[in-house]
Amino acid sequence: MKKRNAQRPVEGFRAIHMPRNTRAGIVLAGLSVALGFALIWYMWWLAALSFVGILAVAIFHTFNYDRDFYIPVEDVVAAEDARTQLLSAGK
Amino acid sequence: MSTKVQTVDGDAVAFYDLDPHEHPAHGSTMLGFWLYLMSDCLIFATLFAIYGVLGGNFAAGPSPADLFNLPLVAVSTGALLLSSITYGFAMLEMEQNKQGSTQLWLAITGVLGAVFPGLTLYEFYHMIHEGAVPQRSAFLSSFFVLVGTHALHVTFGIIWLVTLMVQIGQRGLVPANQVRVQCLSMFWHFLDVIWIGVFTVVYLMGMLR
Repeated sequence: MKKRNAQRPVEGFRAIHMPRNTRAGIVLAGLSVALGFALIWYMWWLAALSFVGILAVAIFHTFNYDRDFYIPVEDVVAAEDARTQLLSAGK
Repeated sequence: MSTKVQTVDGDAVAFYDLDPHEHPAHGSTMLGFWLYLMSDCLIFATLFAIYGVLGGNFAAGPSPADLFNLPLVAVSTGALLLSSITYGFAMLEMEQNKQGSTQLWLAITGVLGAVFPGLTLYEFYHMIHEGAVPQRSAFLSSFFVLVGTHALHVTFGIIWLVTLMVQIGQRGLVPANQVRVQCLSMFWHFLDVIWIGVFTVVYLMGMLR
């Protein structure tokens, strides 16, 4: 990019579309570990419990429709301006 | 995607997208779901291969002709194929934003779908009752795992269907729910296709053996 003389943009920034954090993935992973362990060691009560837990967490997660957000354009501009100042101070 | 822009020195190139663009909320969901379906297809391909290799090893036990009840299988196959048609009707109603009739067709699909694992359970119960348990022969082991995995998929599809109907009831046919209906549609038709394979390879060819 440098070779082709790319210029760092200093204006025209827009809000950034982001996915929201969710704990569903790590919780499902933990329950899956419990299920795998229980199946290997024939611990049927734990297997049943963790399997029902996986189903419940997965279904509960589907009721969460608030999955994304935007980093407001003011924050993007502020961060980029701070970077611009840092770069010009270094010259 | 990058757009050339003219700058002071005349030869600079922008390496970022200058045009406003949208990330639709569910833009990549369909691709992800296809990837899931194809990995699920690999599971069934493996189980079919196992059945193909082991399906003829009866260990002096019962063979398909002794066990299978074709009229029963015909009923469950009919219910599953019909449920695919009724799911199609639900999709058509959803296209026209008719929430009530979408829910109705989804409910009919669920009832027809529930017939299928019900009859599979009944069949399994009878076979086990007659001593045709999975441990009896390689044929029975591979039969139970192949048909059982398929019936489990249908059961999870029904759980998904009920959950989705609750969510449509809560929020209506919002875009997020429409994507879910489309994904479940693909899942449902996929299970139908797999069943055609099971029906042909296990039941029909089993009776011919």
